[in-house]
Amino acid sequence: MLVGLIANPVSSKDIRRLTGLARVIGIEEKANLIARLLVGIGSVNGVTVMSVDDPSGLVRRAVTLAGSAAPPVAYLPIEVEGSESDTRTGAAHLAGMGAAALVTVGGDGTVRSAAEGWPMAPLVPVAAGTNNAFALTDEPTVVGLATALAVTGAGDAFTPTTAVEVQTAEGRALAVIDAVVVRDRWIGTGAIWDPTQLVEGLVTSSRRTAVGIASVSAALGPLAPGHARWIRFGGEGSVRAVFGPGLVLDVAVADHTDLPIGAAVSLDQEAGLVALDGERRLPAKGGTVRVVAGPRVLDLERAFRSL
Amino acid sequence: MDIPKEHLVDMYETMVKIRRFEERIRELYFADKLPAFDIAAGLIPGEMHLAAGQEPVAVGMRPHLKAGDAITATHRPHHLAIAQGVDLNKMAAEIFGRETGLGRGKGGHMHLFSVEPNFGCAGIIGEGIPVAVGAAMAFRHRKTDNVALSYFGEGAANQGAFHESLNLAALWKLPVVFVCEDNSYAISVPKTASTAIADNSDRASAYGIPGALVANNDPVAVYEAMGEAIARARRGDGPSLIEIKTDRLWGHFEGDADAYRSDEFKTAMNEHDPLATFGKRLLDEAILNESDIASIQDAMHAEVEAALEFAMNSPYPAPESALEHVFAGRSE
Repeated sequence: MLVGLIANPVSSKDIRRLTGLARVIGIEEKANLIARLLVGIGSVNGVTVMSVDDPSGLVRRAVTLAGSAAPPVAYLPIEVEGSESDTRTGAAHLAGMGAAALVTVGGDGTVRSAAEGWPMAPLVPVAAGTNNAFALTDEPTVVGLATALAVTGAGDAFTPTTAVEVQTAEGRALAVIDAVVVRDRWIGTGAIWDPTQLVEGLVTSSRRTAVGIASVSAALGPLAPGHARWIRFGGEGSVRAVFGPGLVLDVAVADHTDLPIGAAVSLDQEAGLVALDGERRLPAKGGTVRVVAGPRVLDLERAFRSL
Repeated sequence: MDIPKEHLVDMYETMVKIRRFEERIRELYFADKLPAFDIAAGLIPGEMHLAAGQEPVAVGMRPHLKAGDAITATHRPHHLAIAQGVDLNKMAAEIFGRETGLGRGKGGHMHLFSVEPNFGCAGIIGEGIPVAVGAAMAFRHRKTDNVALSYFGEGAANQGAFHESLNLAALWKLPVVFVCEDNSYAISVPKTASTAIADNSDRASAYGIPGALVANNDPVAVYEAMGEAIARARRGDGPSLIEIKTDRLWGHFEGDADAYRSDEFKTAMNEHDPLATFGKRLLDEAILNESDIASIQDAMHAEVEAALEFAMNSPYPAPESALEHVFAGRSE
């Protein structure tokens, strides 16, 4: 069985290392993390890995580190640019090759790019980002083993998620956690660390352990599966949220409502940007956001039950 | 974050000024060195290292500076000196080796020293990094809230002085920001052939200080990152390391055949020219209109020409002044 692998060498390095207590996850630590993942995958017979060959040689370092415990690893014959387009392109190729699972190593942005390339991917998102609102934060060796069991075993160990489709004048984009209008007019470093910049948006998560805008949603109560939460920020009321690593903030919330898959909202904005999964990205003017079915995510417990 | 319009316009104006200065220096440098390239000949003798493409690194810090802040730079210093507000006339005169220059014509383009603003640069790789730490120590001693900014390339981050400087600055919590301009090439050596790790910003954690990567050559991204780092240093929270991925549009030095970089690499760089990109963005956001852009270009070009005129019309230092300002306490 084929497992796809896309690792982001630049996740966990942006300005949030200065605006909060976000840590750097350097290349060597990521390589170690991927090596442990590979050892987990390699412990089950019959699984091969096809990876995007990033310019930093991140996956190659990991393969060397894992040694003979790694499964067979090959590299996609695609041009890599050293940008997030590599993730989208790689995911699309792996979909075409019939990969049984797509492992991403990075942050929420990495997951988002992978989902844009393969919208209904059976995802195994390994956390190596700043907020990791979407990713699995379990020990990578365990995640690797669970992935191999999931793709070689009977049954379906992947759980459906909800996502947000964003349509603007610049085209279509996908967010796996949140698509939120911010007052900023400049993409800059992309990161969001000031909740007073939030205007309104859709959030697909209410997981209490999530960090970022998802934490704001969680503070507003549980969210039913197949729904996303429309939140209008500002006003008099507020909730306490873990807005980032080392950042517990009171975030002003004026209003919220839960919307099912298929519901759409027009962004009534003249200025500002739409931030996708915590990254400033697209002009908000004239945009629409829609609740859609998202990628599937590995359920570790169900994977181990297939043993 | 809300960015004041005046900061955006100022950054763009400064980018235009830097690019024009580098273009004109390049023209004048080559004008009388050909057909056989004689590095000692002509208006500007010696080597020349120009920073076209690296303008965002310089202008992004500019709005956050205050009087008295210190900057140390490298053999490729013009963009940083211009951004800090070094006297353009005296800077040009120094490059031309004239008596009216910052160093009375005795230092040249790699040795631009200004007292106000506090700017210095030199051609020894990594030399300026400990000097910036020293400046930060002085600010601490004098109890000011000034900061020191140390600029160096990705190759210099492999020098011992880099590591010693980060360690001491971290240990003593000094008000210094270390800024790595990563243009991917140390002369002709790609970073992948010189550096064991992929990103120098990762090295910050080894010294217990924050490190951040600015992955795109964008003045607003640099503005955000440098704003946070400078504010952190100014309020006494200590040093940080910022790594900025930037593009050196031209060769390492003027006269460099630049054959070690592929045509595809160079084409891609030029397609993402930060000056054109930022100008278009300002138009799209209605910060500036076409007429504003034209006015800025005219104004900046005129300022550059005036500086070059000043330089070319200035006298050379007299031969008998050769030993002046060389030895301390020497009166003749």
